[in-house]
Amino acid sequence: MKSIEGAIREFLLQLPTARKIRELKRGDSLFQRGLLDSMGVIRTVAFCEETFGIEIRDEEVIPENFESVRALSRLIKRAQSRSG
Amino acid sequence: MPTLPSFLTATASRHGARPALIMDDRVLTYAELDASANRVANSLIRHGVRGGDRVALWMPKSLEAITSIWGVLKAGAAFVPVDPAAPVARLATIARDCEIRALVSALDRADDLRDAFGTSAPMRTVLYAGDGPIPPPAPRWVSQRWNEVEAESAQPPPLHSDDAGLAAVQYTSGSGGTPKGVAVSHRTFAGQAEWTVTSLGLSTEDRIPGYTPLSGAMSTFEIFAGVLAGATVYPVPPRLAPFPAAVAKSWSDQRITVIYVVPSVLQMLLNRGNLGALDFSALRIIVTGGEHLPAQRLGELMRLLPRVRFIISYARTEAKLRTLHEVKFPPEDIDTRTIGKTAAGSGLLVLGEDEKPVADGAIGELWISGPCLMLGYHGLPEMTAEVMRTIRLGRSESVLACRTGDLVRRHASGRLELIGRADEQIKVRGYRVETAEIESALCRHPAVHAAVVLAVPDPETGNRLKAVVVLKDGSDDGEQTLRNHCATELPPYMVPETIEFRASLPLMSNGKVDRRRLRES
Repeated sequence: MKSIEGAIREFLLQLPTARKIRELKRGDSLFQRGLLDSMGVIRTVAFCEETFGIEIRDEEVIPENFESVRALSRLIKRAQSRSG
Repeated sequence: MPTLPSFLTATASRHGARPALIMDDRVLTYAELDASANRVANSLIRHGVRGGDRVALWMPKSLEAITSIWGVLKAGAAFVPVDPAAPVARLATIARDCEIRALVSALDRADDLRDAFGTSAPMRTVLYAGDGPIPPPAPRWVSQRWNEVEAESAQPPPLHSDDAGLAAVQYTSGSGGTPKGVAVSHRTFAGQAEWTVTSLGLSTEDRIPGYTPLSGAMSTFEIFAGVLAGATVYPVPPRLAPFPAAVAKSWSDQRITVIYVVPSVLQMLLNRGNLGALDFSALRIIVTGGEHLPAQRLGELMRLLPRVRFIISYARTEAKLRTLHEVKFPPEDIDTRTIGKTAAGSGLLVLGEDEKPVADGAIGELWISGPCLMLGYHGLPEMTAEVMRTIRLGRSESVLACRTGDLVRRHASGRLELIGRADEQIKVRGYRVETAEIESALCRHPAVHAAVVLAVPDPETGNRLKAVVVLKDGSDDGEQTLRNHCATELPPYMVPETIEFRASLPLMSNGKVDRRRLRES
């Protein structure tokens, strides 16, 4: 099974905004690289909810939780512990 | 009619100490905005920019970007706003198409610019926002950093007074396979701004968020109408913009009074904005338009914000009229399809294929006449002549009008109802998209034999793009390869989210692709 971070990374790298980005380290800023636009955020939320069977609350969809692969992975773990 | 820079100088002299722009923690007063715009103008003029030249902008939304628009106009030149999220290849296409004389960009894009333009750049000068040195090697153009721009004189440059002169070239998706530039005069923008300020009653007391990309036609609301009214504009920081709850909270904190965004942004705020928990007591008007807003969603919004006036607006990049139709509460029968009132002098004509008026009740195409019309498509006189035509209204009366491609019906009551499109043009998150342009991009990939792009309904965003592709024999390129290929040529919103592969495309008896069958299957 893929790790949470691995799955997120793979998803992000296929967004149309990823373009020339081939590699994404866990701490790399997703904003610095222009990776997350409004569509990217909507699709990322949907992807995480489906893939990990979680619910992300509206008030959790904020820049701090989408800063990096690491921040997203923490958000998912928090949501998992809530439902689990 | 005045030229646009006179809006800024007039407001700066009357309300110089009032805030013009507030972004993150930075405040720019009207006096400061006017002085900064003079510095940009003086820098451009010193670098050889003259009246009528084109100056492109390719940078994220920022105070520097908005200041630069005013600086370009004060230099007597026309601004060419390019989607900051678009690949540099698209900037290069646009820059060459309208032969830009200068470019304003951000320092972290310097390498991209050098790679894309090499030794054949149309621009002679690039102004860079941002801190730090310009990375070597030196390109063929003269580079200037923002701290050098800020050291220029703040004295106003000589005033250009030709209100019929070119103020902007706004690029929009082209059905011919490449983007086309809509050339717009000072007079047209000024007339639209004056109508907007008067009809919405905008004043120095208004606080307006700047959410729309500067590359989109709608952003002239915050830029020109905002300054004419002396309102305060809060450009939404690019880092915040994708997050509905964060955007909504900032608008509540800023006590925003008037919002003008596309329906897909309203839907995003409804879905994820946590609106019910926020204080919007200062908000008086929401204007929306540019794509269809389902009546049910508007009803939900009206119930959440019962004291707000909701106005549906209609405009085209080619015809800047900004009609206004107020939707009445209670929302039992919400009418989001009416094209409302507009400024005096703009004509809304319903014509048949013979370019003659159709009877009330019959469906025809909407044509627009009046001072709101574009000058034409930049460098495309034949395409301009196809859409801008002299229409005979009576025995001796005729007007110059522009076709919209929108199908409408005028009811006996006078109500003008929007029915749909006469062609394949679609809207994706408020962006106007010609599917032919995406199809051309797909077909430029060596593995693609044929491609059709369709809009399919999406609960979150209204529409999403799907491509149906037939590969050449022996090719096995996958979805991701083709999406990457599109992303190097097209802005992200034009890249198909899903690509389906087929052995062939269904055809109609005339040999054209049967889009309806594809959509239904």
